[in-house]
Amino acid sequence: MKPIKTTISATILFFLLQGAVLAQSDSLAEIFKTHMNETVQNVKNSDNAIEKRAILDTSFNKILKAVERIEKSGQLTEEEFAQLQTFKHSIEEKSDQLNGQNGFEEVADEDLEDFSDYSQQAMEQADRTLTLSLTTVLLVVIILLLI
Amino acid sequence: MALLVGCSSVKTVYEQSPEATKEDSHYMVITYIHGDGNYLFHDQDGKAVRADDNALRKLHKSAKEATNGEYFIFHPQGKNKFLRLFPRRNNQLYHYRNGELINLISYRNESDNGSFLETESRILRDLKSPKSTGTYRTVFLYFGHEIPLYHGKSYHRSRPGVDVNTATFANGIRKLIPEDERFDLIALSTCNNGSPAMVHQLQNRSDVVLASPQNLHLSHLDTEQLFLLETAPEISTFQLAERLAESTFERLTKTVQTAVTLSVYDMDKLESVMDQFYVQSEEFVDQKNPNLYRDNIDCSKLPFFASGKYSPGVSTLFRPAKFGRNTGDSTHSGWGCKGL
Repeated sequence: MKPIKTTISATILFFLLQGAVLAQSDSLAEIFKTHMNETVQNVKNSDNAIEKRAILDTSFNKILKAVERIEKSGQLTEEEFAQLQTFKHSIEEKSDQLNGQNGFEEVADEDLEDFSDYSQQAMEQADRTLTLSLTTVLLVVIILLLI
Repeated sequence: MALLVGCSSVKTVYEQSPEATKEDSHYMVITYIHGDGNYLFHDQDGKAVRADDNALRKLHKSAKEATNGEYFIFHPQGKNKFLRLFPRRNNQLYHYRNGELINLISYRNESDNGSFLETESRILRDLKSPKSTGTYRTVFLYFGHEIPLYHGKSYHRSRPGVDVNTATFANGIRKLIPEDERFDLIALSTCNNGSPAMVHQLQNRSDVVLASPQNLHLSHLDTEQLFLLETAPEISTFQLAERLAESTFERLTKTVQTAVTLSVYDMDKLESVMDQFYVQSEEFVDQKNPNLYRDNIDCSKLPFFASGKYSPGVSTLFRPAKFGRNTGDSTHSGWGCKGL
């Protein structure tokens, strides 16, 4: 009787874990979008331009750090790598403009809220979305939440 | 109410008696709202919104107001199997005729590797009313992410074996209506599909196409102006598409800081130049090998573009982004291309 019970329990556990795995892999792009939404809300809740700029800068750096860690993981297919490069390039451009680097004029203090909206809306377009594997997703979650 | 239980891939949840809808419809709107992917966006208050649910709400409203029209609203959401083992019907079809919901159907795709829009075209053939005589218009609206140029295996989250690209999309929508017919209007609420490749694929499928050559925010196209099919049935299809574009443009330019570009293409006027334009854009991709995941650029920035040839027949609304590299652009050719 005991082996049957063990087999049934193992089967149930297997399917539950599989469900969790699928749920996780669905949500990579959503993790970044939720992170960016928190950033935008924090920018709007601050009444200090220096602080607004710092919030945006920290947020972009967190995302870029996560992306670099994913790149180094070496687990990406060619297609996933191309998706990630596009995403990284887009965030780097925003970071450059925020800080007035690489040919950009620095975003003016009075435009920081609009710029945070722009950064979020650029991420929430009906273009092709990031579809990376589970391991990568978990890595991103850990990095974004703990650093 | 009819309930077909068991292993059938289609289940009728609700069905109205035929007497209630015996009047002819004067037009048909088929809509496909792709929900089998990541469609999260945030509104101006930071509230999370699902783009597919948002589009569905707009279309229910339009369908209820269409007292002389027939609406088919497909809303596939994927996740076809419970615990990856037991098939389930997680896709919905809402069928309205003359403002009344007459069928609500749950369905699942019969295969994980079938062709795009295969199941939907089969369901549609079974339900569609015969065309009424006289003027009758057929409109197709697509809400989703960019339909890629090639491959597209990861487009459906739950069916990674199905290729979704410009060619499979064009083949799929051809099956929605009889072979000897074409759509009056195809409207694509996606990014980057106002391109030579997509318009070329839709030649002989539609009289008019509405699409965005570059990015389009996930709050998608507005559909209120479809009511013109009720109040101004004599309106030309090109004008109807322009009204849809204008209303969307007006809202988006008030609410987003990113670029807004919407184009309406007159397929007859473009017919003589599309083969050449498509070949030129394909050759550019083959030779320069751009990252196809990047957003389109304005085709007029590429060496092969000839505005005198490719602009007649295209009506474009454009506002540049408030930030980024291209804030100084004041005009747009109406065409989006993969660039470097």
